[in-house]
Amino acid sequence: MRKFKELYQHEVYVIQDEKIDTNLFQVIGIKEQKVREVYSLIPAERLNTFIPYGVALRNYLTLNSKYHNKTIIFIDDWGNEKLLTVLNGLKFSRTRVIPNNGEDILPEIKRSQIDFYKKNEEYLSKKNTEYVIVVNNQELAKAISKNEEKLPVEYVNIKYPAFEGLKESNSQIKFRLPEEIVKNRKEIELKNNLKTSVLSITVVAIGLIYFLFNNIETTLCSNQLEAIKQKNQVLKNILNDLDKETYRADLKIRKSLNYGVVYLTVLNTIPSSYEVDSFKFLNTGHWNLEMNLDSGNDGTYDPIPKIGILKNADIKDIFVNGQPEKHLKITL
Amino acid sequence: MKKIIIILSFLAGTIFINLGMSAKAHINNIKDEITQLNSENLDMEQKEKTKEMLYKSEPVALTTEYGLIMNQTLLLESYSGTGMSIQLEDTKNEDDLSSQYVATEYNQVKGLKIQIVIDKFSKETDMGAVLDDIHLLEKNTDFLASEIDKDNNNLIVKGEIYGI
Repeated sequence: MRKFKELYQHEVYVIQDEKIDTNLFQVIGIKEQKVREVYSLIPAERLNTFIPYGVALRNYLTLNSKYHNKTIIFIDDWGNEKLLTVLNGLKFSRTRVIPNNGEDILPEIKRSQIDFYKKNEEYLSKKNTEYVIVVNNQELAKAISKNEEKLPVEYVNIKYPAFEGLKESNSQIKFRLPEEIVKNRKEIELKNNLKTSVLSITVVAIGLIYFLFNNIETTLCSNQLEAIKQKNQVLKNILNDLDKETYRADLKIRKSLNYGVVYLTVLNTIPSSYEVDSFKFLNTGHWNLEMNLDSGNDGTYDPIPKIGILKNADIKDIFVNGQPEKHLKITL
Repeated sequence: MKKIIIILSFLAGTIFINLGMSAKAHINNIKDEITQLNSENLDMEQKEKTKEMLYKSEPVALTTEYGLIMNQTLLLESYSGTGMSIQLEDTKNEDDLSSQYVATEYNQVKGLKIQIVIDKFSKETDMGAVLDDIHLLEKNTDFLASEIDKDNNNLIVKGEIYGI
């Protein structure tokens, strides 16, 4: 690159370089004025790719495998002018415009070939000494093939090979103006800053929204709870007053069981041979009557009919103080 | 700088999320309390409806009611000859009965747990009539029996006197 600058020190160039081998870089330059002309015609944001002609042509030839391992002298006929470029692998020469509309083309080819070999002598592979002249104009290809030196000539049927190569835009080489590079760098930095800001704001916002949402819900729930508590207190006060006013009436309702009547009804239902040994009325939410009966004086144990009040009674044979007895359990 | 901003924002976000999670836990507790209170309120509303239908009367002081029961038992003894002795359920002697008052299912209404012991009866005693007397005692006072237990020797009526 330093060498390039020394060679072209009188004019300002936009320089790009690419690594083409181990410790080998290819430097490509274009006058800055030319780049400015292009950027003045096409705004930078609409310029997708801006690569040298040689790189575009090389991209096209890379797609064509039959030219691998050969030095190619490519003559690109644009109609009004013919462009000559020598390529070997990734290396390529400066593109020359052939004067006199293609007349005396053979000396130009020879000169370009010699010049390319001379400049790249130390970098070219010794194995790749073959070369081929590739032309995209059939008539010109025929004309060159009739030369006395019998140079190998091939015709490719493509009008603008460099345009095809442009489609392969993954090249390292892309011309840009320094201010465009700075602008682009700033844009990237701005984007990165924006990304950082968006990420930071998003993270904080998510946390804040979650917190605020729950805080609002807490307030709403607290208000709801307060209202329910107030209602609860009002109801408690009402019930307290009502309890005081109605507990006597409620007690009266709960005293509906006449124990004497129940007792006598049971006595009238069981056979007269039985005598009541003990009994127990117990209120467990509802009244139960449990009764132990012994056989009395005659010592007989008549069957107890499960009728009337004893319809659902649980009747068991038990022993009390070594004496057999009947145990009744009645749910009232 | 960018890293510091990102770290700080993550820190702030984490703090807010933690605060939000604490608030969420608080919300869940409040919601549980709301559910419980709503259920309690519904229950009380139902009770209120039921109680509204009951006959309303002035409450009676527990001491007054206790005296009334004493008189009623004496009256029953004189009518039917059933000897009744009134005792406190949990203790034999107490200087101040008010210390034995307990809370009841009726708010602001107190209870005194007593037992009536009847121990003077023979085989010829009409047990139906004795039980009838207990029912009569219940009807004439604010005493509510919860257990009537008769073995060979005693008939013990356990219950509670209600009053304010």
